[in-house]
Amino acid sequence: MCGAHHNRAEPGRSPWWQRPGAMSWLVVVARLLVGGVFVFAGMSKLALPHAEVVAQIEQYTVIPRLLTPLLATVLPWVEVLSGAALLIGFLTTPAAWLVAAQLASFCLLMLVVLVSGIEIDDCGCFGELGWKETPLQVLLRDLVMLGLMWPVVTRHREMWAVDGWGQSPEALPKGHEDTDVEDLDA
Amino acid sequence: MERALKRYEKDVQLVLYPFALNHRSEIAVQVALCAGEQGKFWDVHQMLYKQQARWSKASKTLDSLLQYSGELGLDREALAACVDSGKMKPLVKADQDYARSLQVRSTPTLFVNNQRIVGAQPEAEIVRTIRQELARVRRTPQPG
Amino acid sequence: MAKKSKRQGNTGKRRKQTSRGGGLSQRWLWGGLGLLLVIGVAVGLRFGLQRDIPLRLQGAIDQHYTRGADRAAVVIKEFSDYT
Repeated sequence: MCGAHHNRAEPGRSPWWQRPGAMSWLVVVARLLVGGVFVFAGMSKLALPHAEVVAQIEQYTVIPRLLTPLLATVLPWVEVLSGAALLIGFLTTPAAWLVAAQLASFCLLMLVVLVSGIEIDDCGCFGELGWKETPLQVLLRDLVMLGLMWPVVTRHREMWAVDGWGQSPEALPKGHEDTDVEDLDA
Repeated sequence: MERALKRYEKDVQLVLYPFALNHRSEIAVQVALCAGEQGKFWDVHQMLYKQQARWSKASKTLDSLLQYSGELGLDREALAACVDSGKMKPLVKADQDYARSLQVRSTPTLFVNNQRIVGAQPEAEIVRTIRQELARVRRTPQPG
Repeated sequence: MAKKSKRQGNTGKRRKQTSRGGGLSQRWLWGGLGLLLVIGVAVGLRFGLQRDIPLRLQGAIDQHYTRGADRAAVVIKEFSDYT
């Protein structure tokens, strides 16, 4: 049992982030925010004609042209599905890893664009909405979201999540709020 | 594009929809349409592309365009009066609305019948699409 | 003693699994439904918004400059910006 419980500071005396349940709320906020953004981004690309999405990806000349039609087809669906799974808290751990991988790829792509000096008018991140973001803005935004994914990936919770439904209180270990519950995954 | 049109001149019709994405471009489109009243639309259309680097950076876009149009033999005063009257603005707006209704987000965008081609593509790509569409239309039984 | 604690441990695990059995299927049901709903919305968006484009592409040629053959088998509509 040693080491199974940590961050057990007394409530009322400890900073808010050390109180029991605080990390759970952070994970919920991170899931809703990042999942929501991904669903939004994927849907706005799906709303555009395929050729438009291809043209937006082709702006990133570092991506081989042969791959752009495939990316334009697959990426919006991956964004929508991984974002939705994260949002509703279903298969949260794999969804979180998939979202984190996408964010890491986008950050890397923006870094390459910035270093290479490739001129991108509109990142194409939110397709149909036409919100124009520069590569630097995208990089900063994605870094923040990647940071938000850390507690989700490392301390997955069932709070406000489909993954937590049907779990009887007896099934959960005592003091589960602040323990890693990877082993509760099916 | 020019060569593709020449190659298939009996089977292809090109329809131009100037889609102004910014204020400078709106002025340029109005100048081109007004030049059409003097029978010189296509001359001005070509000039706008050839001199794009210069007039698009000029501090007074209209003055710059009037100067270039004058060199093509157009009546500058009539052209200026036409643009100032704003009579071409509804046409410019109608084309912008039409483009948006087709979800055109960037230029150039071509529709070869229903096939969308976005961005400056190699001529071979355009020719390939034209040939595909011609083959498809010839296979489809025509009404009447 | 070791056997007894192992048996107790196994019973505890089985109890967990029993209470989780129904929970697991409920989780897959609701999770699956949620994702299906999202897929449905995405499919509707993907094909619904662009359903009318072929219709809108017909006509709307009047008052526009053209080149080439009238009543051609292939009509190219070019949307371009001068800047």
